[in-house]
Amino acid sequence: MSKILVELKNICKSFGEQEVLHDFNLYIMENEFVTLLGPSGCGKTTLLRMIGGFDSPTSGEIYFDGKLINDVEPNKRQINTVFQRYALFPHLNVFGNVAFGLKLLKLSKEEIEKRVMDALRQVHLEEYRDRKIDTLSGGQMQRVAMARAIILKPKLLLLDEPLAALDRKLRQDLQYELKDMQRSLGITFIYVTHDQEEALTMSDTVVVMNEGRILQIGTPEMIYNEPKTRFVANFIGESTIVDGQMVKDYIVKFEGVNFKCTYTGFSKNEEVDVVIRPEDLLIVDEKDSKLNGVIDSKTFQGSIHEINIIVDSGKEYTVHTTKDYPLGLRVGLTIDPENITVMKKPGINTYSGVIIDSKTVKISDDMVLEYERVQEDGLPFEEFDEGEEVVVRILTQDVLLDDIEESDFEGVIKDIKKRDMYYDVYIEVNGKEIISSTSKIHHVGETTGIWIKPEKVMISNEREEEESE
Amino acid sequence: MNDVALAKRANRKLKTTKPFIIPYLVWIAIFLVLPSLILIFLALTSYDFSPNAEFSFTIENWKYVFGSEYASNVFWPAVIRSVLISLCVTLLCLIIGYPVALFMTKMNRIARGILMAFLILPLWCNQVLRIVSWRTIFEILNLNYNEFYIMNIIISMTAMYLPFMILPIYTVLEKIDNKVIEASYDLGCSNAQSLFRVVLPMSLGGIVSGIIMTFLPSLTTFEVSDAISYNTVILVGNMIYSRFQGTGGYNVGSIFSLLVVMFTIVGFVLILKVDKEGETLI
Repeated sequence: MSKILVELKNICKSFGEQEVLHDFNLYIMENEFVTLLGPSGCGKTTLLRMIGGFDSPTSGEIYFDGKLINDVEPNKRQINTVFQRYALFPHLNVFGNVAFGLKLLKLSKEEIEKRVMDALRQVHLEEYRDRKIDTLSGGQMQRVAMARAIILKPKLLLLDEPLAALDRKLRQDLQYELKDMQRSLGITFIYVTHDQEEALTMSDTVVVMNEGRILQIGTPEMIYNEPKTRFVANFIGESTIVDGQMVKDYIVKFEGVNFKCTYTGFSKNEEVDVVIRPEDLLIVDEKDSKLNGVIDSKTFQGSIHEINIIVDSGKEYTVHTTKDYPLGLRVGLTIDPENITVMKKPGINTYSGVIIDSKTVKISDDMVLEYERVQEDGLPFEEFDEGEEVVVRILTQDVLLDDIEESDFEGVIKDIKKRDMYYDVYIEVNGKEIISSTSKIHHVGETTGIWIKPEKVMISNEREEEESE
Repeated sequence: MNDVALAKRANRKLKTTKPFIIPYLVWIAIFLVLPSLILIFLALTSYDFSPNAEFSFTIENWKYVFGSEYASNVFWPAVIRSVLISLCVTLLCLIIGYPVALFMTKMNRIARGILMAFLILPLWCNQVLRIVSWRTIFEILNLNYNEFYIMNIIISMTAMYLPFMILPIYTVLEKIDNKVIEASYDLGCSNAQSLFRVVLPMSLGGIVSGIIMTFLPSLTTFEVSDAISYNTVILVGNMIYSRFQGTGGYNVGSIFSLLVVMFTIVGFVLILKVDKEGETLI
């Protein structure tokens, strides 16, 4: 049975005002190939640097092999890194680079020679041992970086976008080589990338991140087939996301049509997001389907045709087929029940409130919030009047639970429900209920502080609301 | 674009930019090439521009420099003294300057700007003024005596040439990718190991430039010993300077100068060996 090698507990990291990682929890098993996947700026490289020892968390604990390593210097960790753009030593040749770590261990010349040549053989670079670094191609440099990192036989290898600088064909070849090497060496890999294809191809486990939080952890198949949030669905592969309603168990309604699906456990008529992958949609004759539309545009992509169909509601669906269809043709669309993915909408706390001044809004006597309107599309704001009645919305993930002293207000935890990646914590604040989505463990009956960043408080005019409803 | 087209394009570019380098070429011809030729001419003849000088090819001058009593008692000891003082100055500059350069790469932008200003601003002030102010400092410290002159010369020269050691080393250090240094820690280096196995070897180009930029000028300064030791500590620079004061010493002085030029050329070749792109020379 494999055991836990790396454990990250409640990791927070801020650079000045900016919070890069928010209450991050993750454990990694021995011999696992874990990929941290996310767009740039999601905190994945920062996380890797903290495991490597080049950054330290603002708060939280990092355990390696059961020991707390927060304050262990990088040179004292049994962890090696393959750096982005390789970071090879330009003053040493290939042999010198690979031998670098061994020379520090003061091993005998013969031993170093033998182990370096073994490592070079593993990356197919034996003949290049005396070459200077600046005469190597990108792929060769990548291999030297690999050899340099694995020669110390670390328990854990960190790889920071190691293939990002290479062309597509080489990248694919090296993906297989890396995966093979991981299997044969029996080393745990933590691999950072923003390339979803790379993540799906190589990993045992994919951790999808955005804005310093984990959105989903799972096998590549799980992540692809059953994305848990809109972001994951969009980020991993192409997909069409539509608003839907769970009519009852196994029936989801979108585009005004009831579809069979495999989902249960939603409340009746709950609003949901429906995710459909382009390869799961089938084009059929108009009379065989209730979802009809016109072929609007298409592109040929080698092995498939990508066809965009505008259905009667005006929404565009993307379909991948091997067969070509003429533009302007009216067609029907069908989908197998198991290919429909249904996702919960993100939780929202909605209240009615009264504006106190340009910075504060009052929801109840105990809930007075600071707000800051965030400019979205460059349009000027309409200032709210004092005493104006407004609708206040706060995403449950933006409700932060903290020490009572530093909080905006406090409340008592009434209930906790386990969701996929986090808990929904129901808190009562003097008669009003607020829900917080958090990965930290809390207990029913506790008193907790609550605070909400001013820019996360969404305020809208009640009148506008009615018009748009 | 293929190679031929590229070459053609480069050629065209050269044609359009060529006229603009003519002033510089003229400058070099008049003030570098011509004087060098004159030096060679003077070294090989008895003619020295004095009113009744006679012209004939001779090796007497060379005999004088390499064989005479004057040469062995005055000139060569001065050469050795100059080399030793320059070596001291260079070593001091390196020992003081390298840590400063290293520290500068780790400073924030504002602190670095201020330090850079401290390094560069004195260079804008006339060199002779700076030397004289050093003498004043030594006077205040009650060090302005015969037995301290060599030490005083070394201190003031070190202060004068320190920026020329720091700047090339800093230029090289600043270009080192921090990831490479992190890689050294990652592979097990302590701070000291990282410095000696990665940072120092990678900054070798800067060190060599720094050494040459301090060693060669300090080898030929005459104004420092002139002002600090009232011309009692004789260096190569002083010997050359005195030969070209008035008349009569041009031929031997030329040989002194040519020897220094040879030193410079050797230094330049050394730089090119270490730093092929010549990027540290700036």
